[in-house]
Amino acid sequence: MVSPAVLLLILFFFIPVFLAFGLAFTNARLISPRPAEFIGFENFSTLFGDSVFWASLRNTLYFAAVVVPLQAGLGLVLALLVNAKVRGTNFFRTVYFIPVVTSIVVVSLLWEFMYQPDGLLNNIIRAVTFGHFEGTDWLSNPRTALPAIMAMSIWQAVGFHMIIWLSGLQTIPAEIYEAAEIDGASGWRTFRYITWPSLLATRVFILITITIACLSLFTQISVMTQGGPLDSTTTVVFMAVRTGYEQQQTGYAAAISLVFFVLVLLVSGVQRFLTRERA
Amino acid sequence: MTSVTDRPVAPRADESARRTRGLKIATHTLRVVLLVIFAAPILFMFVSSFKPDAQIFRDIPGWRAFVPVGDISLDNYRDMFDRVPAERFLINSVLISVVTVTLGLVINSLAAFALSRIRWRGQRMLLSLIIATLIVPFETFALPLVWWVNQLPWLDMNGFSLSLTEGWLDTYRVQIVPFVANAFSIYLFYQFFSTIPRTWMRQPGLTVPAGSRSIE
Repeated sequence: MVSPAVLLLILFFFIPVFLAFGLAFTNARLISPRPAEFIGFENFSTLFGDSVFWASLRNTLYFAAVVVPLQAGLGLVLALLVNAKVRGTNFFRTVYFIPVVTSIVVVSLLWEFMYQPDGLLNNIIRAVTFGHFEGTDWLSNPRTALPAIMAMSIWQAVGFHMIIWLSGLQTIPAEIYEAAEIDGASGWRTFRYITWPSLLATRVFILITITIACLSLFTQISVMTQGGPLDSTTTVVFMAVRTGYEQQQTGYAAAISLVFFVLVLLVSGVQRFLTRERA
Repeated sequence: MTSVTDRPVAPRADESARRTRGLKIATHTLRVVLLVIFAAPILFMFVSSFKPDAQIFRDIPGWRAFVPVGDISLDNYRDMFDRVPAERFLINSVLISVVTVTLGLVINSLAAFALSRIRWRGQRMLLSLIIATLIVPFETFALPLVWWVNQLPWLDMNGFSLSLTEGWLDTYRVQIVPFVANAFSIYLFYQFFSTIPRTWMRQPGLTVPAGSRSIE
């Protein structure tokens, strides 16, 4: 009974993962009449000497360092806001969740349009600041391109983490809150000593899933900036796809994938260690 | 708070009620502000889809960007079907999703059932192996996967003659088959099956699958 799924997982998960390890040491190309040759660590020495790779790695880590805490934090704020017993809670939840069910490709195209020099965003900025502040050409400015993509990514995905936080919040028994109210605990103390400790498992899950999603940043870059301007938005996965698919250098792309794999494993390993349950 | 000794109860209750009301107004304002931030871009996209290009730009500086006014029509939608074979794209999307999900439901639920309810050698190990794969992002092996599927053989049926072809790229199967078995889906099914009381399964007429020792 388990065999069809296992067979498919072997064919389309385990073999490609092992291939990533194997191909990284060859000069394999996507479509090539010649068989792949073993070339040792040449791909890696090329990669570590490539300035685009270092830019990609820097951008990926920068993106994760900003987006992980902001998205997790804002997700919790949203969850607390829509967890309150007020009228219309379902309506608010639905609207906050709409960007999540919108394809990231569509969202990227929409925001690319809004980020134009005379686009919606700059007009709103002008209106809100009464003309005292001028926006820029967000995606063509190396200083603002990546932050602009960060803002959009948080806007798109935060609703999902709101739902995860919410499911965590709703497992906390109401009696504990009632007891705290009788004891006269303030809102902040209730949060600090009841809500926050109860959300440990949710916190670990959210931390690790957002981190992996951030490190895998690709679609937004591919749609909006193609890694530009001046490599200010290129990421590790974007670089791997560009070399592996457009330039058809499968071996080199596999080496990038392998480095990415090690990066993800390291970061989530450190997170697991830091968030482990202390006895 | 200085008058606490004079009037022990009333001012405190008053102040705390005022603070609660203030907090309620603040949080509700925040809720509405966030609502606007999340809804505005989507509304803008929806409304603009009924306007000609020139009017979209003319409308941007102002409230008109969010309201379907002016030259409203379904021309953009008609254009979509004229310029590209959009109906074909829609059929492709539906076909690929329906086939992937249907096959996935069958195969993943079968696997989860075996993992959760039938006792066999290596069951625990396989389960932890499948759960461990959840941490590997698809992006890490996507490119080796492209190279791999391009080498795979396929039995082609051309009328009555069968022929072995190589390479899966640019086919339906390459968008379906690799995505049928899904570790996360197996895990969800597994969790659900594990919540069903075991006594329900010990019913007359329920046979033990061949090769397994027992159904728990």
